Amino acid sequence: MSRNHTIKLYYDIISPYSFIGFEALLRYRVVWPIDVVLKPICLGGLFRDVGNTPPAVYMAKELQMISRHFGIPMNVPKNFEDFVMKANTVDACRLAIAAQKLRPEKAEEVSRQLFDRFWIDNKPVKSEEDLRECLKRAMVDAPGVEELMGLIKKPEIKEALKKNTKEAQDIGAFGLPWIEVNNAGGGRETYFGSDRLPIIGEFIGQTYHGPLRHLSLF
Amino acid sequence: MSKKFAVDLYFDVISPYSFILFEVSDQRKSLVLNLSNSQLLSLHAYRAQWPKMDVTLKPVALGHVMKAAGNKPPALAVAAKGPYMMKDVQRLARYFDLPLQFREDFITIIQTKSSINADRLICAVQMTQPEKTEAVARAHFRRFWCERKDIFETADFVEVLTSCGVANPATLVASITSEPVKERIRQYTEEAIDGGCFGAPWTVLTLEDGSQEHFFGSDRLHMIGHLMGEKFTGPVSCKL
Repeated sequence: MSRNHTIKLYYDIISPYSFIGFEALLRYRVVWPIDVVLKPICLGGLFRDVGNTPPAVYMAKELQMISRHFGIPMNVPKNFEDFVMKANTVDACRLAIAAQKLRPEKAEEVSRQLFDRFWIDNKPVKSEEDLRECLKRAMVDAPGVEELMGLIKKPEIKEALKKNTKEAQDIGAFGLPWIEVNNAGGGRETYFGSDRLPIIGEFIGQTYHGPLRHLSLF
Repeated sequence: MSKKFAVDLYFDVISPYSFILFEVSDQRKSLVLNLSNSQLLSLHAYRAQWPKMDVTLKPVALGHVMKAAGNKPPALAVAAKGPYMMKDVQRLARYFDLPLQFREDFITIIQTKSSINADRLICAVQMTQPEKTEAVARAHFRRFWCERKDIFETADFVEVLTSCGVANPATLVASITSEPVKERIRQYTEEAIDGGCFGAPWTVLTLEDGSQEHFFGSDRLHMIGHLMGEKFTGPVSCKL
């Protein structure tokens, strides 16, 4: 009997290529025998700990093209550098983790709504109102919303985010998205970026079928 | 009459991802002539499949590009990038059936030696025997990245040129430090920097309306193809 392959996706809402990797990988659950484990991390913390900095502004133009290729209606703001530099997604990532603990069946959608708000609507995901709006759009029940907003302030969630971030660093991450694949045969590989799906496919004995735009949720 | 898309490939032979994007004309020829079998994926391989694509090779002084952009080689910039890059490059090479292997002293080489003369030599060939440009570029890449030999001294260059059947190897090698050759690589380097280049490989596609699209890295062939109205199908096997 064949097991699924396990793929861990380390990401931060502030990382545009993480959004692309998130959508692309989750789509592939339809065609590949994979279990995807979501691992929100704090990119600022990772950069600081490994001595890295955000990549060049070149990204901005390319992102428009790549996101369309994946059928993601990403909007790259004209003041891209400014937009990203001024953003703070720490609470957003804490919320993503809190959702995994408290409303696991909604966790993926919560992350998706956070990504959507930031990268499609170009609105911040920083204040309490911002985060509540995302939970509402993810259709989290009202009591759940209150519990989650309370939970993100707790040390256990702050620690969990730090733990994920350290985990990413320990397995060699220097940027996002960072993907760890454990194939059913016991093999393990790590990948940087949202453009290694064909290689990942080969590692798990599967064929890459392109961006699967017909499975886009947009 | 069919339109052609100009594709400028800016590269440095010291850049492993440049080799991956560039690769194999032997195999490209075999695609056309239906000769041997190999798995391949490369700009040149796709040149056979994408006849609208007109590739011009443009060696650059990568160190200069990086300095202008405030960038550093990945292995030197962030400790974690070095081991990852080596793994990623070897993995890609296997996927594309390229017998690439990092030299153990690679990190030392990039800190102590320069590939500028190898890149200048490719320019020199382009200026005098243009039909040999691709072969000479390939020979440099293969020598360093597959055979793991040096590409820094006169003797190295004479061997490379001779293996490519280039006429007057000694004269060409001597022309490496001539003003016209240095000017050529300077021109390509400035052009790349002006277009926003911060590393290699750097691909510039000129579309039918004259506008340009710029791509960093060896993993955007599908986008380049898409913009030319071509389909990218992954590694191409011509097993018979």
